[in-house]
Amino acid sequence: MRLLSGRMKGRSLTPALSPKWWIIGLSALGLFVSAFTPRDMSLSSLCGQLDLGALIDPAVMALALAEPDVIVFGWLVMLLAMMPLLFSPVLAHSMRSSILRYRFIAGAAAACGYTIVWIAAATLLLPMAILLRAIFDDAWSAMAAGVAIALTWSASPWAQQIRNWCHRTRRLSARGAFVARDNFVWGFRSGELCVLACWPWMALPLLVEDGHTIAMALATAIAFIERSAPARFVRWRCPACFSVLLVWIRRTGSSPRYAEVMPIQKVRGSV
Amino acid sequence: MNDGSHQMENGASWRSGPADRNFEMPKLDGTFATFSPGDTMPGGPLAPRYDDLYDGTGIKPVVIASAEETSGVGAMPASLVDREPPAAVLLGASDESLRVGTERAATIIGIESPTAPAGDPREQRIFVNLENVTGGLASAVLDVYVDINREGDAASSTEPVDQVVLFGLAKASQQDGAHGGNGLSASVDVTAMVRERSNELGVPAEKLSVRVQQPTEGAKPVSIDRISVYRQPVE
Repeated sequence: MRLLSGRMKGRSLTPALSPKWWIIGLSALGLFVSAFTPRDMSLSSLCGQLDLGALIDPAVMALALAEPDVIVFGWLVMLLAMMPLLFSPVLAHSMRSSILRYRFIAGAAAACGYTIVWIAAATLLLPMAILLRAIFDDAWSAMAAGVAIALTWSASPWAQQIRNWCHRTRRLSARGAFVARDNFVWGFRSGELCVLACWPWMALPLLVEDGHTIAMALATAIAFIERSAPARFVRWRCPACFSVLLVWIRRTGSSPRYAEVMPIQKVRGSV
Repeated sequence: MNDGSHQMENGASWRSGPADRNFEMPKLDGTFATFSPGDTMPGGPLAPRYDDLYDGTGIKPVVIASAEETSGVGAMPASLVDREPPAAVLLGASDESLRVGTERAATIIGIESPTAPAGDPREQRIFVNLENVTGGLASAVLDVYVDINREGDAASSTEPVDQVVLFGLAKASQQDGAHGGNGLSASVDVTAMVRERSNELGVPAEKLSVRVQQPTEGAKPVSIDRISVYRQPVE
């Protein structure tokens, strides 16, 4: 009889497939493009152009949104910068679950499902950012409101429930005709949960005109930390980004390691 | 550790692992302190120093290694290997989830590159993975039967190839627990069985028949998300 418990038992059987350099490279490319995008082509500038009066005037709205390619370009750049890191655990499960010759199909199908959801999310997040920016006179106030919304959402039991769901994997076909279908659905469902869990952090850079790229990098890091935080009991609690940071500081900094507080005592007769 | 021909994994990921959690020990004040596997290795702050159970008994110990070697004071016979173990390769997986009670639940797994009937026993190891086992039992016992599947053949194995015990199953199945509701996973080494049956039948293992059963009468059923087969080269 063998005693086995925990995921660590399968550690040596899990292939190291995380294509982390691709993830980091794509994200860096998105941030690079964003940093060198002319200000008038950035989404945050678009959001800052409209005030409350303009929002109820169809003519002004039509004028402001006359260049859909700017919106599409801006959103795709944001996705390129922010999405890969959040997608990495989804991709890792897809590739780990497929045999070698189906891995590309599995990864591509999952990426398609995941990206479609995030592209669709623009139809909600952009109007939300435009509305928030229009309510406040200056960008700083809008950003402060955005941060407050994001922290409140992060602390809420609903966000915790969604983050818990994010950790649940699903069975994927290892090969055959169902690989693409299974992985597309997996990517789509994961995208839905990611959007629900991270939407305020994703919308935050839209409110920042100066330092839009830095805001994207910070929001990505926070969203990733929250997404990676272990599942917890559902209730109001300290925002996940803070609690993860506190746990990390406690474990690496101030908290003594076991050997420091409980030195091994030499027992009489020990060799 | 006492056999000079053995190799002990000592790669960075092992020393500082597991990746997604910490080992914790309670302190006298009720709080916890963390440690890593590397701390327990020779020279580490938690390297074990064993009692000499023969001291004062007058019994002459059976020496398989010198006291210096076993105490961690001297170099131990087994060598420490810093490189990571070879990556395991997925060969196939079940097409459906299994619900396992006291009746045997069976699935057939097609293998991507069938193993040769007569191969060097050191070349590779074959594992059957029970992935994401979930259920309401505090601990579940599963008998795992594996055989090479041939068309028209009834599975012949009557003895389980292994029995696994999954402690903390109910807790690991909770969605708000540390496992995120994914349950527990376990692996079973079926290398010897596959080689033996393959040689006996004279055919490569193209399909494996895996059956799982709970030996405890009246045990609540558990779910196995997927059963997969892995091959891991042996260095």
